[in-house]
This record gives sequence, structure tokens and C-alpha cells, in this order.
Amino acid sequence: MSAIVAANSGAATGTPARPVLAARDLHVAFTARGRRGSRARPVDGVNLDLYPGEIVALVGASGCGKTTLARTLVGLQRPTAGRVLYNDTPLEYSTTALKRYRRQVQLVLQDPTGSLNPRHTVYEAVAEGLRIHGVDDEAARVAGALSRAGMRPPERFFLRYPHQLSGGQRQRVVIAGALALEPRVLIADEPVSSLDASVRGEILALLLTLRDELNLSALVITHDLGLAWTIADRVAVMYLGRIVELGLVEQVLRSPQHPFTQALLSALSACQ
Amino acid sequence: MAVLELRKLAVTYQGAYGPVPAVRGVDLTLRAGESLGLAGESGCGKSTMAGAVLRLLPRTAKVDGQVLLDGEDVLGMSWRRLRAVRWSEASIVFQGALHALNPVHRIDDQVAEPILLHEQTSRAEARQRAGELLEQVQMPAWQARRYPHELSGGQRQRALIAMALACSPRLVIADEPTTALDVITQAQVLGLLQQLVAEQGIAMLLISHDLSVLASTCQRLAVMYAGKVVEEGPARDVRSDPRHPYSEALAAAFPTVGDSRWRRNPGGLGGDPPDPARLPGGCPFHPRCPVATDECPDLDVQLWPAGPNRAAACIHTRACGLGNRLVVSH
Amino acid sequence: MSWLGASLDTAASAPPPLHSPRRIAWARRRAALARTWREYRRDRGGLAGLVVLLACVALALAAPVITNAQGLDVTAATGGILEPPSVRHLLGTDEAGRSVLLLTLWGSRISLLVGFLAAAVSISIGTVVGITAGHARGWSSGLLLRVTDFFLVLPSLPLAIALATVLGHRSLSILIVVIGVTSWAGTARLVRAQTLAVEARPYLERARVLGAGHWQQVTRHVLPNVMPLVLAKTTLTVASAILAEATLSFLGLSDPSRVSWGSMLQRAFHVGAITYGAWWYLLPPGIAIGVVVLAFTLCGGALEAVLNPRLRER
Repeated sequence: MSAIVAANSGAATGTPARPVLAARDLHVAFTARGRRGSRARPVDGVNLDLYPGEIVALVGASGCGKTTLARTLVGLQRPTAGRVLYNDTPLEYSTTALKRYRRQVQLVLQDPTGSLNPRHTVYEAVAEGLRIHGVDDEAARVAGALSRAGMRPPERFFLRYPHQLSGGQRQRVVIAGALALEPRVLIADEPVSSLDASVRGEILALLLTLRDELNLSALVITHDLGLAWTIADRVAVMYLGRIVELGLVEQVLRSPQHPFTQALLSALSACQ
Repeated sequence: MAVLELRKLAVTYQGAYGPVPAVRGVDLTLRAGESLGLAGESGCGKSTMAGAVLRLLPRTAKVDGQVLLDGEDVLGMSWRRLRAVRWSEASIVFQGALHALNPVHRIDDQVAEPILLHEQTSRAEARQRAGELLEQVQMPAWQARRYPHELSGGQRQRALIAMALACSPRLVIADEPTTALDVITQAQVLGLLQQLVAEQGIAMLLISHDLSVLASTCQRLAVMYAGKVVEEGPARDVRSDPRHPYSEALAAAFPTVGDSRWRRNPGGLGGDPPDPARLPGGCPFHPRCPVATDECPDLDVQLWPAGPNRAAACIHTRACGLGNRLVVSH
Repeated sequence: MSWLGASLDTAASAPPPLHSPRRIAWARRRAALARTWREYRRDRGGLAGLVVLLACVALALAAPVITNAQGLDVTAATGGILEPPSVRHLLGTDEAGRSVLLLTLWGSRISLLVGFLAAAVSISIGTVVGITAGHARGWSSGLLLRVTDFFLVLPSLPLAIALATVLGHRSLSILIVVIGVTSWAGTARLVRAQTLAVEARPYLERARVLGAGHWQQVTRHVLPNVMPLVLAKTTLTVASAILAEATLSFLGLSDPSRVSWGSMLQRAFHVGAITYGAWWYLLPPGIAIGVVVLAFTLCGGALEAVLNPRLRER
């Protein structure tokens, strides 16, 4: 049974609203091919709520199941047990239902350079989602998404290719592609870890701006506690497939309760 | 006498479209028992510098200046002398240990290899000494008989540290030793490095892009940008009170958890670290600098004094004089 | 905050705003084509091959215009039997008195036509099977792979001979189908490998996250990445198809009334041109086949060199 040491699992604003995205007793297990009985359990009973307009950081060591959890929340992976709830309705896995879901919850992958097709221009990369869903008024929406992602004036970037952009700009284009569908939730898997250190701040500031301006909820997956400290409202600490501590950033990172969180923070302070 | 002294070191690669200056004139001194951290991002030249110390760069790289290892110029050494010097005087701990270790040899055999190459010992004796070294890095004998793929990232890194110490060098260069590791393992490995280096009085050059790691492990810190050192000084001071706008941006990328200055306040710069083949004129940082003035694109920056034992290559510190804080607004 | 204004683009001249997505797509394609052509030009062999090919195709297309088809009619032959080259017949005559030069020119039409069409059939089958095998998950991909392996392992020439004999070799379209069906497996393997490589890339995962279905994933991302390799392979496939047609014709498996390089060789062999010493009857079709196949091979090699490093570095 997962021992969640929850400090305060309410929205950052204080008034408990309904969570926009939730995981209920989620389990994902993989069976290694050819080896009977050996199963990997990257997600082993996870309960997590994401409220409107908040940023939650999911921290943990690499290989602890964070990416699998992100993919399950977005519908790319079916759980072996448990449910994913969007606005209190369980996620259905038919093609049409998932396609509809994609307009509400989007995922930004880890490597911005790999996430963009090198043969497509910036315009086409951002318009891809709109074309898949058959949304009209494409050009205006693409321009709008690029502006919101901080690429101004957007027309200047329409004909550029990914290799002509800086690392930070590429990540903005990926985020713009997700924003074009106007989702309510953005899940970002290690959004800055493959960027150079001095460039990370601009993407983090962008996430904060999106939360403030669009009331976008974000689940940011990272191994970097400093990132959680910088932009998150709440933090969930994951260890071996379970959430072992969950609460407001100020509380969890200043006075951790679970031994794993304490170990993480003491290791961090030894390096600071 | 200094264990390592770099005098006006410059390394230029031969790119497809012309020369690429990776290191453009670096002066550095390191004495026995001292630890120096070298901070910088991709393309700043730090790994090239590490390679230059032991002449590990490709043949097409042109190296100018002097690299004095215990007073001897490495760049002028004969091949025979260089081979003798490599590992026994200075060694390197590489990053990404799965690629640095041979996957078909056991760990203790690999740690014993440099001993066998440099000293006239029997294989059994070398293996025994390897076992002792591995115990020093907290790897018990049964683990030492394993293959690299059977160990975790942290264990492999510790094996690399043991290998670097095999011939009792006077200088250890650690190139991004903890980048691929999680925080807890990182702290263990760094603690180990610090302890071993202090015990044996070795000089250590630690290279990383993570300022907080360097600040906690090293005594002095030098920040590199576009092939030159832009700031140097005592490690903690440089981190907490940077005197160059680039060091400030780098420090902001690794905020202290618990410090309310950084709560919902991510610092950062636009653009990318510069391409060494296409450096901007004047101060190479000026296109991204938040406090650049009109003089910066034409100014020839050098390291000016910026406090006790500190130097920074920025006209603002020169203008403000010694000991004044650089005022940069977010 | 400093980052808001720091969109550091180095292009001093911004392109004019193009809001229409179609114009953007065309601009992109044109730029890509110009880039490919510039790099292709650097390869001398490829250029030479391309020139030779264009010349051959032009001659083949222009044959009805510049020559008289009546010269092919056996009953209206103008020269003597197996005459050596002279001023009147530059390449001599065949056993029916027709000009060998005329025959070679007209034979190129059939050889090139069969070559191109058979290659088209082969490439189409191979690409479809390869992409499906690479994209599908589960038992279907395994099945397709086994079928591909089966065709890969079968010796293509005996199979072609058997099929042509059984299906009736007088028809040109049967011949094209037979050559196509016996040679698609190599393309399928190549396409499948490339499809797997593309499928593993993050931008395909991103397409799925955005909601793309199988068709959209394949047409938007997999196909454009696979086509360059297919193009390079196509030129080589045309070469081998021409050779295959020549072989089958030489073995007597084509319509005797149709003139192709292979049938010329077959007739020459049949009438004993070798013992007679009528080199002017044997050399032209043989050299023609060799030159055209070489030209295609050079082009294919140059194309691969151009298209592959881009795939690697991007």
C-alpha cells in the first residue's frame, strides 16, 4: 500500500475545486518478453490530482516510472489497473474518444530537437495538431499559438526549420504545437533537461506565464528539485512507482516527512 | 611549484568551413591539494581543455601556448615521455561511464590495466592493488568481479574514479562525472572525490555545467564562455555573488531550494551558447547580456580584478571597482 | 524579463509573410528540391549518368518522329542479309535486311518502357508492404515479414521464367507484372527498416500525442522520410528490370514480333551471328543495355549519396 504522506492536497489557491485531471489507484505493469513471472511495475498504485490553474511537479529518480505515468495520463498507455479521470469522467480508449481527449490534455516530450520533424517548417509543426483535428482558420491559430509561446512576431518564424532555431526556441515551438489545440492541461516531461543551463529559465518562465494568462494546469515531470522549487505550486515525490509524498512546495521542500524526500533534499543541500 | 599550469592555452579545430577556435587563451594554475571547478555549457571549450592537458585531442587540432605539468611542457614531450606521464602524473575521470568502460572486461581487470602498463608488477599483484583501490571507493570484492553492464551508473562512476587513482597521479581531471546520475548518487560520488583528493593531496580539476555541484566540491571556481575564462574566484563567492552577468545567469539555473529569491522567479537568457565557429566580436557574451552597453561589441575584454582573489571579464565590474556587486535586474 | 524580447534570429532578411499553408508547403518543397539538385550536381558520375539517361529517353520518345516505323516491317526490308556496317546502314543489317540501328532505336522504347513500368510495380508493392510491416504491431507485421523473406529467398529468374511461361508471355503487361512481382522483396526490406527507424523517433510519438491516426502518421511523417531511399532504390530497380526483360526476351519468352534489345540478342543468337561473325548485330543491343544500366546505377548511387547524409545529419 502506498504510504502517502500528504501535507495539503488542495489547490494552491486554497478553495478546493474539482480536479481537472486525476489518477485513481493507477497501476501499469510490463511483462518482460520471454521471462515468466518477471514484471516491471513502473506505476504501482498512484493517486494524483491536478486542479485547474496549478502547476504540479512530479519529481523522482530516473527510471522510477514518471514518464510511464505521464504517458498513461495522456492516454498513450493503457493502465493494467486503476483509472484516469478527466473532469471526473473516466478515460475511454476508443479512437474517437482518445482523439477528443487530445484536445484537452497535451504532452510535451523530453527532447525538443527530436520532437520536431526536421523536414517540416515551424508553421507546419504547429499546424499539425490543427490539421489532424480538422480545425479551420489554421493560419490565425498558428500565429496565436506561437505568440502565446513567446515567439513574436510569429510570421517571422513560419518558414524556419528546427535546425535554424535555438534550443529554447525549439522547445517553444513544441509548446506552441500543444497550445494550438487549446488544451486545459499540459503535461511536460523533463521540459528543460536537454536545454543548456542558461536557457532553461526562459521556458520555465513561459510555463508560469501560461498558467497566469490561460489558467493552464501543468504537470511538470523532472528529476530536478530546483525546478520544482522555481515554478511549482505543489510537488509529488515518486519512488519505485508510488507517490510517497505530496503537498505544497514550501512545505514539502522545506520540511520533508518521507525518508526518501529527506534523502533527496539532504543530498541536494550537500551540493549547495 | 604548481602541479598544473596553463599559459595562454589556445586550441583550434579544423572545421569543414574553416578554423574553429574552441579555446582562446586560458591561464590557469593549480597546486597540489587544491581543487578547481570549471563551469560552462556546450561549446565553451571546457572538455577541449581537459583533453589538451594530456594531449588527447585529434591530430587536426592545433594547440598553442603551454601546458606545464609539474613544470614540464606536455605539448613538447616526446611520445615515450607522454605515455609515461599519462595516468601516472595526470588522469581523467570521464563521463557516461558505460561508454568509458570496456563491456567485455571485468571491472577489476580494467582498473588493473593502467597499473600493468605503467609498473613492472605481476598480473596477480596488479589485480590485488585494483581490489584495494575499489575498496577505497566502497566497492566490495565480489562486485569488482562483475562486468560494467551489471553495475549501476553510480557504481560505474566509482570504478572510473578508482581507475583514475590507480597510478597515484598528482592531478585528476573529472569531466562531468555526475551528469547522468540522480541527486543522491551524485552526492555520494562527489563526496568520495572530495575525500580521496583531500587524503592523498591530489590536485583536482572538476568540470561541470552545474554550478551548485562545483561550488560545494571545489575551493575555487572558474566560469568559461566561448573559449575563455570570464570569471574566477573562491567557489562559494562566485556562486552566491557572481560578478559577471553570465555567471549570474548560470547560477540562476541552479537555484538553492528553500531560497525565496527563486520562488516563481526563474532567471534565464535567450539565445544559445555561441557557436565557436561564429563568435560575435568584442565581448562574446554581449548578444545575450542583459546589461550590455554600446561599447561591448567592440571592447576587447580581459579578466579584470573584481574583489579579493577574484577576477571577471566584464566592463561593469571594472567600472564599479573592487568589491561592488553587479546590479542585474530580472 | 530578458527572454521576452530576445528572439535571436540571425537572418537579417525575413521572408515575406506567407499566410497560406499551401504556399508554405510549396515553398518548402521547392527549397528542398533546389538543395538536392545542388548537391547532386557535385557528383560527376551522377551527372554523366543523368545526361546519358535523358538522351536515351529523348531518343526513345522521338523515334516515331525521326525515323520511319516501316523499316521494322520484315517484308519491307531495305538491305541485304547481315550486311556489315556501311554508309547506308550505319550499324549493318539483321537477318531480314532491317537496319540494326533502327532496330536498336526502336528496341529502346520497349526496353525502357518495360524497365520503368516493372520498376514502378516492384517499388509500389515493396513500399506498401514495407511500410505496413514496419508500422503494424502484432502478428500482421510478422506475417508480412515472412512473406517478404519468402520472396527474397526465391531465385527470381527461374520464378520469372516459370511465371512467364505459365501466364502467357506474349503480352507485354504480363511481362511487366512478372518482373515486378519477382523483385519487390528487396525494396520491402529496406523500406521496413527505414520505417522502423522513423517510428522510433520522438516526433512520431508527438504526432500520436496530437491525435494522429495511422494514416496521418504514415503519410505525414513516415512516407516523406522513406521516399528518398525509395527513390534511390527505384533507379537501381529500373536498371535491374531492364536487365530482367533482356534476359527473358533472350530466353525467348517475349512476343517475337516485338523489337527489344533482348529479342535482338535472341534472334542474333538464333541465326548464328556469332559463328557468322556478325558483330554489328550483337554489339549494339548489348552495349545499349550496358550503357543504360550503368547510367541508372550512377544516378542511383549519386542520389543515395545526396539523400542519405541528410537523413543522417538531420
